[in-house]
Amino acid sequence: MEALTTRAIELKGRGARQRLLVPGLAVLVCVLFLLSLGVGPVFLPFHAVVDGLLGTGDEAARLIVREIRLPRAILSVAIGFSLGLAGASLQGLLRNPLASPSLFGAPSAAAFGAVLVIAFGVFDALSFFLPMAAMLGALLSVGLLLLIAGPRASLLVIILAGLAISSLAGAATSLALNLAPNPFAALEIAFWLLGSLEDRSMQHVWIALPFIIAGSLLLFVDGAAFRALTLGEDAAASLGIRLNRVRLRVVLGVALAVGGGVAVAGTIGFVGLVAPHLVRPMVRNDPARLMWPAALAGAALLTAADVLVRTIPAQNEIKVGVVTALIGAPLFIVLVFRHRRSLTGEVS
Amino acid sequence: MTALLRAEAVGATLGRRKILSDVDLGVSAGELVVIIGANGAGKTTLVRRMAGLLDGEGTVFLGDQKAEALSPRLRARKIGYLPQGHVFHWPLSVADVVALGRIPHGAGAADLGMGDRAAVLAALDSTGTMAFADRSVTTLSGGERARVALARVLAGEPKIILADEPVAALDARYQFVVLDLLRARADAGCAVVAVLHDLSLAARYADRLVLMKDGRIVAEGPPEAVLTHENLAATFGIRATIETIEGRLIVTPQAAL
Repeated sequence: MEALTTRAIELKGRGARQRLLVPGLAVLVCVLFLLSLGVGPVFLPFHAVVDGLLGTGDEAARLIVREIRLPRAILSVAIGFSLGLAGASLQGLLRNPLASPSLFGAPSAAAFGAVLVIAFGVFDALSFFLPMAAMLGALLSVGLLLLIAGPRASLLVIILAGLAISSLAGAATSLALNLAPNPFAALEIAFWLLGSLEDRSMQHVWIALPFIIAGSLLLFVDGAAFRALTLGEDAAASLGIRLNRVRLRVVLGVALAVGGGVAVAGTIGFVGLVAPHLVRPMVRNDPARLMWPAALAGAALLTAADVLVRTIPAQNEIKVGVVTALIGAPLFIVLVFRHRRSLTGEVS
Repeated sequence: MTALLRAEAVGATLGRRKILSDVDLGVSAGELVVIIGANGAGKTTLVRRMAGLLDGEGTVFLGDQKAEALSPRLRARKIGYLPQGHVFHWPLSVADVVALGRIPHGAGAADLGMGDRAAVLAALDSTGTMAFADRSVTTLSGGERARVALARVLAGEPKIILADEPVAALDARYQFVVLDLLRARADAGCAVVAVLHDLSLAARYADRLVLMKDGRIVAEGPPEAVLTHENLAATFGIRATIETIEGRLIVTPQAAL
């Protein structure tokens, strides 16, 4: 019996590392957020940033911090957060560490929706129609993917379907570029597609944030379901999980989050893949406990990348979407390499 | 005595193929029922239909309630379902996996309550998996994983246990260990259904054997009544010697017919 009770304590006890993970990541995000307010063509020290934020410093600092850098910092945190969360949720739903929104063509489909709106100038680029169109694109792609994949799809089927959807969305976007009314519109679209947070205003924040918050709230519902899915779909269903509802919530949540982000920042890839991967070992691979750390890690990653692009000396500012892809894609290759044994098992 | 679990005229269709038709099966408390039959006879489909994982014709009753009338969570508290294969998609610790069995009792993403923890510990203890409770499930051997999968089901403290091939791919010793555990649950008042391939093991553990072919039950009753030369020829297409050694029915398949 004594053995039983000591074991009971061990069952309950999580390492200090695990308990400090979420607060630690939150602090990291805050530090990066402040850094993001300070870094740029004009470097502002910490006290100047705080003064600027509170409006107690000189006018120039206030303008730089509040009008120029604050929207950018808020967007990088919010978009990174939702991408990390979306990645963790898709990985939980599909029970695979290689799942992520960008592999499924969600951002490209969202981008196509948004590009249609911009290219044909139907609506002002700062209207709510932009995120709506982006979200619809993402919704279509993720929904289509799950439809093709069906309940028992292997990862191979899902990835092939995602590739097909990505290509279709890419081709459609190219067509829109092709048919763009004037070269300026085409150039604007092409730059916007690269994914950037440069020169965003608070209006962009207000457009994206409601979608990102709604999507994130939906995604946070299903932690227990993702944990149950460790046992496979049948066993999870037998534990009382309503899988159809879980799937619907994840599809909607990912579409809202990705759509909102893409609408104001273009396509930013690989954050959703990399963020969950970085923190998974620290939560003992538990897909439910993974969600907050993955979201915060996503926020930290994207904010750090956005700070990085401002410190690299270059003629044109390097787009943050390019940086995340340059860092993320090689990591993806490493991941595939590491998982290749289990992947071949999945295929057969 | 009413059956804890009763299927009435149940059927199921997958794609366009009728996998299960017009099956009646009741299982009472204290009873261990073993389903046997050739590959594709509909054993797994019947178990999944009874677990509420498949829709189809007929009705499944839990006690005197229709299973469909219960919420999925309430149903999950009554029925523990052990699928084939004992797959674990994430390298969770054994204790974390077994704790998943408490989800129907409200232990979702949050930490376990006292009652949950007691149930998890009892399940770890009875299956002999306590010794590696902190290890990752993906590092375990087949026999260890099978016991962890069973512990997960037991942790939910279900009155009805449906186990689909619980001893497939296990060595002789672990086959006994796992089936002894299921036998013990039945003796403790649960209704247990298990799908088995080994006919001698089925005869040894079953209170009642159910023999299936082409989605129907073709024979049902005590092992010696079901395991006859005619039935084995008609369902499995084999010739076998059926003998009684030390009071146990032993079936040795001899040749395909």
